[in-house]
Amino acid sequence: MKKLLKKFVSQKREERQAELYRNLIRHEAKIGGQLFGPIPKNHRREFFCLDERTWIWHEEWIDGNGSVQTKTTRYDVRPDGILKAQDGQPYQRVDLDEARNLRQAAHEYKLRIKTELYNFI
Amino acid sequence: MNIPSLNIFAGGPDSAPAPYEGADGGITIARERFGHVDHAEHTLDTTVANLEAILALPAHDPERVNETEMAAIKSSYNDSFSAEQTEIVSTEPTPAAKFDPNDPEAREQAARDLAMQAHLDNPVVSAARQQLFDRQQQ
Repeated sequence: MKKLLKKFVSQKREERQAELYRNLIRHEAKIGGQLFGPIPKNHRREFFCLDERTWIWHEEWIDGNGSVQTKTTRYDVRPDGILKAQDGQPYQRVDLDEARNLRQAAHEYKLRIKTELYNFI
Repeated sequence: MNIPSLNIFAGGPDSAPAPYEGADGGITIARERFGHVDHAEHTLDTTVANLEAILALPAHDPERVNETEMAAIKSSYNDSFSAEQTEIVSTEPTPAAKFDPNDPEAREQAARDLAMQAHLDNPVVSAARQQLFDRQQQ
C-alpha cells in the first residue's frame, strides 16, 4: 500500500512538472508572437522554441469567408543548415537571409522571455 | 467557434506559472526550460555562423566550388567513390520527379539529389551543394 501511494505521489509530481513545462512554453509562445510587429486583427501568432533544434511559428486567422486558416512552420536547426517544413509539406532549406532573420528572432526571444518570464530564476 | 490548435497549446490556465510553484520543483523546471532556450539559441547562432563562414569561403568561382565539392564527396565516400557508382545511383528513378534516364541533365540532377540527401549531415558537402543549387536557381 505504501509503495502504491509513493508511486501515485511521484506520478502526480511528474504530471505537475510536465504541465508547468507546457505552461512555460505557452507563455514563451505568446511573447514570441509579439516579436514580429503588430498582430493583425483576428490573427493569433505564436513563435517559440520547442527544443534545442526546433523553432515553431504558428499563425491562425479568419479569412474573408469567416473560415479559420492556420499555418505552422517548423524550423529544424541542423549543424549544416536550417530546414523548414510548412503544414506537412516536404522540408526545404532556408536561405541565408531567412536563417539570419531566425537567428535575430531567437536572440530577441531569449532576451524577452528572460526579462518577462524567467526574471525570478 | 473552436479554433484548431496545436496540442501543445491545448488546455491549461492562461496566466504565467508563478515562482511559488517552486515547491513542486517549479523553479528547477523554469531553469531547465530557460537553459533549453539558451542552448537552442546558441545552436542556431552557431549554425548560421557556420553557414556564413562556409559560403564566404570559395569566393564565387563555380569551378572552385566544384573542386571543393568533389573533394568533399570523395573524402566522405572514402575509397568507395567511383564513376561507376555514380552511374548506378543516377539511373535510379525518383517518384517525385518523372525521371528520364536518357536526359543527361535529369540524370545529373538525380545524382545530385541523392548525394545531397546522403550527405545532408556533412556540412562541407551540403554547403557546397547548396551553393550550386542556389546558383542554378538564379
